[in-house]
Amino acid sequence: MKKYILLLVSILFCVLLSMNCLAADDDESGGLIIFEKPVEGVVFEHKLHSDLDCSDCHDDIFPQEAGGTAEAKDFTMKAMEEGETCGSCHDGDTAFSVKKDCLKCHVGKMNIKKIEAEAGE
Amino acid sequence: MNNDNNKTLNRRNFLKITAGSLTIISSVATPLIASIAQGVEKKGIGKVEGKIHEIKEFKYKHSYCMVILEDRCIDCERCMEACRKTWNVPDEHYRTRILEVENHKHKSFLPVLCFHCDFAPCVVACPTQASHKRKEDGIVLVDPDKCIGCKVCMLACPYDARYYNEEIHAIDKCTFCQPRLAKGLKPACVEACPAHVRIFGDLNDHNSEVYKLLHDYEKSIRVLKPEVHTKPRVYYRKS
Repeated sequence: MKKYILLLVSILFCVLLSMNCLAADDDESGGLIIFEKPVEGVVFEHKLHSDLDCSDCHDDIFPQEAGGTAEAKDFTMKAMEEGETCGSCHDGDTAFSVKKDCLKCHVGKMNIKKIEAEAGE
Repeated sequence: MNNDNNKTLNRRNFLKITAGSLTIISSVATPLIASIAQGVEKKGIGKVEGKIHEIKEFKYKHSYCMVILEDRCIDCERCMEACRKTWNVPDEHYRTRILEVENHKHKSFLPVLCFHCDFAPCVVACPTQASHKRKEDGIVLVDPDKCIGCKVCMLACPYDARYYNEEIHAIDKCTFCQPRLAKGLKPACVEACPAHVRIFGDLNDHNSEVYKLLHDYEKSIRVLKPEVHTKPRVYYRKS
């Protein structure tokens, strides 16, 4: 009888662990987004924004559907400098300004190729 | 038995041919390199000091140059695409490209192209005068009809700006989009850049953006590999 209880507990433990892993999985939170519009070589990492709630950005600032943001008219550096899309947080106070540190998001096409190669492995 | 003989003969012939061709190559290459070195000395590369634009030889009717605002490049590679499309550059080659450089752990992107040097080592090295510097505007061009594809200019160029184009059987490189300039257009890469990294203009025009950028004494201006004293016409500064 003791054996069965031990087995049951261990199975339960495994199930809980796997659920925990799933919750932490990138896909669950949108993962990595590689933008090709309006310019190529731009990356957005959900992981770096995990201290926010989903509702902080979706759907007021960014549509949740895949590819929706890239199509938005105000997804330009000029609009961001005026406080639209990324600029609503990246204003220099809440987070680093969109007017500086270009390469934090614009990682470049050559680095995108590296990221894609790593993801493909 | 015959086969064996053939094999030894082949091996012997092979060795003979290799040794012979090596001798020929070295006998041709040595005077060639010597003549390049002489030419370099004669034309005074590395010896001229002072302001380049005060030298009579470099007073052009149009003094074309490019200023690259190096902290603005985001490696979107639109310039490379535009250049490829405009001039049918094969995929494996480039006339302009983006490098990634690291300075004190700070990474940045650096666009490079032909620098149209005033003391162009490629022009000095060219044995057929296919590579030449235009007197009217200082642009360095390659005449594909004169080019014999010896690639000496590729060796001479300190900036790796040239490639051998198999399709036209000649050396090819950036021309500052000279045919476009003749039509009154800007170079294709300048027009394609979304981040206003590349600024092209005539230094003789004191109202041009390039003139103002190069005479803004608050910002330092640099050229790549200044130690080779080629006096490039592409300048780098921060925006």
